Amino acid sequence: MLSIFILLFSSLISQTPYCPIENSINERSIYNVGDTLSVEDQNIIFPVCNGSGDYETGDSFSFSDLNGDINGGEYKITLISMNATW
Amino acid sequence: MSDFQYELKDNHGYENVVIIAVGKSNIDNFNDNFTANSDLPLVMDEAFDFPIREQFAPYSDHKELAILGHDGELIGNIQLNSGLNTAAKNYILEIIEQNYDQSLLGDINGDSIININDLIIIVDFILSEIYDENADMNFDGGLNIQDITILLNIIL
Repeated sequence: MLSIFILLFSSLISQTPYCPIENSINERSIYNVGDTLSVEDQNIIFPVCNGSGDYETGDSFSFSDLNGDINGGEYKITLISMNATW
Repeated sequence: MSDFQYELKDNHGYENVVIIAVGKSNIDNFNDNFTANSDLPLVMDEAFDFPIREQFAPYSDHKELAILGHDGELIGNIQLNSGLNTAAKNYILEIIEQNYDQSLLGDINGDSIININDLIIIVDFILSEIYDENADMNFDGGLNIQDITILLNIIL
């Protein structure tokens, strides 16, 4: 029994943390259509867990990356597709 | 979903549309098991706050697609419980069509990037007394130093 427990425990801790979240957000706004994200919310950084397109795994992402008013003029429309991954 | 990205670009000419996948996990640390099979840039929403979902979809957080405009405005959202079907695509395309050209304010040479080249053109317009609404950054019906200042602030 003990060996099984040790095996399970070692298996868990051997997984490499791949995409740790560093955000600590205590208060958030809830946005409805027509609302504009605050600059603070657009600047929140999220880790890119899987690279594709302009992003590589390990990069950081924030919504301000795609706001031309903030990023120096590269305006994008962003589709945010929310899907569970477990 | 990446197929839709190509469709938007190749079939509709929308090069400046980016699709970001937002995953979700209920553990503190992630590993590559959670990123398998994603064909889009994937960022992770962390339990137990799920900050992205809380912002855009606090009441129905799964299979939601939110659309952000060029300046961070939430311009649409849709549930994709039935997948990305024709009705969903049409909804998304309509919103993109309504908002896509707004990116052109300040993009005077039409290359989809606002930079020093646009600044040079706006100066030429002012010196030549030419009016261009894409260069009218403050919408006052004329071109002057104020428009240059606004454009310069965007570039910087």
